[in-house]
Order: sequence, then C-alpha cells, then structure tokens
Amino acid sequence: MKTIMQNNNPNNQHILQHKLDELDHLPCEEAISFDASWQKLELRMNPVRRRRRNYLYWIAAACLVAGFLLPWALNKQKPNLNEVVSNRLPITPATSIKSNNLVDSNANNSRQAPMLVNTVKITEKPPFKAPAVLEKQIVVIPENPVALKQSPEQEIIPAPVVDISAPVTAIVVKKPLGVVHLNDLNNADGSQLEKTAGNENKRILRFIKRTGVETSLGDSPDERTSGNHILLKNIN
Amino acid sequence: MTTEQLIREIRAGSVAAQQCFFRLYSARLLMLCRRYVKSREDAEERMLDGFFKFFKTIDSFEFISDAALFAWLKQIMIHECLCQLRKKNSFQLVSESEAMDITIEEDALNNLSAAALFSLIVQLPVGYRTVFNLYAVEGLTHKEIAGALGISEGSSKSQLWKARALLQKMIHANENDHAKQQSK
Repeated sequence: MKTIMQNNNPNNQHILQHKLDELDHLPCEEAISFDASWQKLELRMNPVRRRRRNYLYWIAAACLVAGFLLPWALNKQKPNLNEVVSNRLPITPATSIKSNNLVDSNANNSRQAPMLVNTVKITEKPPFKAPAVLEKQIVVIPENPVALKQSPEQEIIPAPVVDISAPVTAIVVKKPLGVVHLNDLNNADGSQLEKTAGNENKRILRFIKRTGVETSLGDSPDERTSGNHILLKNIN
Repeated sequence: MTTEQLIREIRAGSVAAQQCFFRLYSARLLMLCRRYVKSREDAEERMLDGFFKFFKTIDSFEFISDAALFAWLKQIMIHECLCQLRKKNSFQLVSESEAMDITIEEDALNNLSAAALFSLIVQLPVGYRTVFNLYAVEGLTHKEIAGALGISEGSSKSQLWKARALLQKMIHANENDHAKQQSK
C-alpha cells in the first residue's frame, strides 16, 4: 500500500523520534571527548582569560603610544620663547572679582581709570644677546563693567577704601642716554677746549671784579687759550 | 543527585554541576545537531553554543520533568542549527507541483535501526534533511517549518516529499546490496 504522507500517523513520528533521540553515538565513529568539549565551553562561559589577554594588548598599545607622545609632550612643556610668557590681567584698584551676581549693582563704583600693566616679552634666541624689554601698557577699563564678566559665578565686590582722584602717570619711557667717548670731546682743532677755557676765564674775571684781586693773563697765546695758568697780582 | 538538584546547583553557579550536566546530555545532543548540520565540527560548535545559551538562560527555565528539560534543550540546539543553516542559505527549494507525484511505502523507515536511519538522514541534501527532521522526527507542522526556515508552506511540503523519495531509494539500494551479499 502506498500513501503520500507517511507521517500523518503521530505514532510513526514518535517511533522515529524515540529512536533518534536515544542514539548517543554511531557504532563506526568514536564518541565525543567530553573534556575537550567542556574546555571549549568553559572558555566561552568565562571570557575572563580572553579579557586578560585583551587587557595586556591594550597596555602594550598604551605604552607604545606613550613612548611616542612623551618626547613631544616634554618638548611642549618647555617655554616657547615666541609667545608672551606672562600677561598679567588688569587689576582694578577699585574692584576685585569674586562673583558675577553683583556686577550690575556695583556698576557705578568702578570708574574708568588707566592702569599700568607690566608685560614681559621675550623674543626667541635673538641673533645678538638682547636684554628683556619691559613694556608698560595702558589698560583702559571699559565704562560698562558688565564686559568684565568672565564666568556666570563671578561677582565684583568693591574694595573698601581707594583714592582714585590722584592722577596716575601715564607713560614712563626710559630713554637710553647716549654714550660719548672721551676722545670725542678733544677735537683736532681744540675748539671744545677753547670753549671750556673761555668759560673758566669769564668766571675768574667775575670773581676778581667782586673781590678786587688784580689778575693778568699770561703773555703767550698758549697760556691765554689754555686758561690753565692764571697770574694773580696782589695790588696791595 | 537528581536532574532537578543538578539544575538547582547550576543556578547557584556551581561549575561542577554544569560539567556534570554537560556530560549527561552532550552526546545525545551532539547527534541531534549532526542530523541538521552534517559536519561533526560544525555540529559540535552548535552544541556548545546551545549549552552556553542554556546555562545563561537557566534562571528563566522552570524544571517540570526530565522529558521537558530534554525537549527544552533540543529546542535550543535545533534553533542554533537552523540559525547557521539560514545564514548559509543552504535550503534547496523544489516547487510543489513536482513533489506531488512522489509516493512512499508505509513503515519503510520504521523497520530500520537507529544508526541506519541516522546514516540515511545524514546523506540527504541539506534542505530535504532539515524539513524531514523537523516534520518526521520533531513533529512540527508545515506552517511552523515554513516560519522557522523562512520558506513557503508549499516548499516545505515539496522538500519533505523529495526527502522521503530519496530515502526510499536509498533503503531499496541498501536492501539490494544486502541481498546480493547474502546470495554470494
């Protein structure tokens, strides 16, 4: 007898299922090795070992990156002479910044006053050894102190006693004095010496007139011009 | 130690209980996986995946009986095997009209031993084998098979009929060989 669907009978399906479920190994094949399979399963269930391995790889990679970046970071920490080393913030005598909430209420307390701020500018390795230049800048505090807001937590508290009425010197510029060599004073024609000698004679004549001492200059032109030898004749 | 106690120990986190449980069921479940996945290595991988999932989701499992536990384990293993087959897209589809002509003798498979039946099923092409396993052995309907494999119901039927025809041919061939050997 032939049928199209053999497994319409549920008993047939149960027989097949029971047969195959009870089969734990094929006679021609070797059975499963439990220990090897269990080790594989244990590795999947405890990925700690894998994580440790990964952790070591990450540490090695981090060391490598640090090895590359450390010299660069150290170079960056050295002062860059092109940049301004210190640029002090302007400090108003009337106010000190503490919190921002009182800015508007204390707006009238702060006045516009020029302030001196020192900034040191160092140039990087000039071709010749130049001293550090001290520059003085004028900082004008804006009329609207709200502009001083730096962070929302800051407020401006006025200093207790400050006299701003006295004028503050605006600019102090040190003008370097010219250096004149001694040789420059002694010209070849001796004109400078003549001038000094003439002035000296005039002073002596004025002194004689006042005191009544008779004097005479030397006869030789050298004595006259040099002014070094003055003959004094006592009239009395 | 009963299976229920073993499950309780596994829930408590005992590795020894897990190992004992694995020893108890791994051989049979490996054979189950091999019915779906032909290669032994692949079947072992699927079995390990199945055990891994079982141990992870054991808190949601409520022990009723040994049969229920084995059915639960089988379901997990079959799911793992089908996932791999679906990934490989290895189902052979035959149209329903071609399969309608195939007929099969009743009780042809029931007379075979378990090992012989297993070796015949493993020789089937993957599409036939999967549908045959799901329908004739596990007892799923064509609708359920179609949903599980992502194929139409008609395709599932045709795959089953083709599988039966092929099995019948193989059984006849084996019988003829056996008869020839006996006559010699």
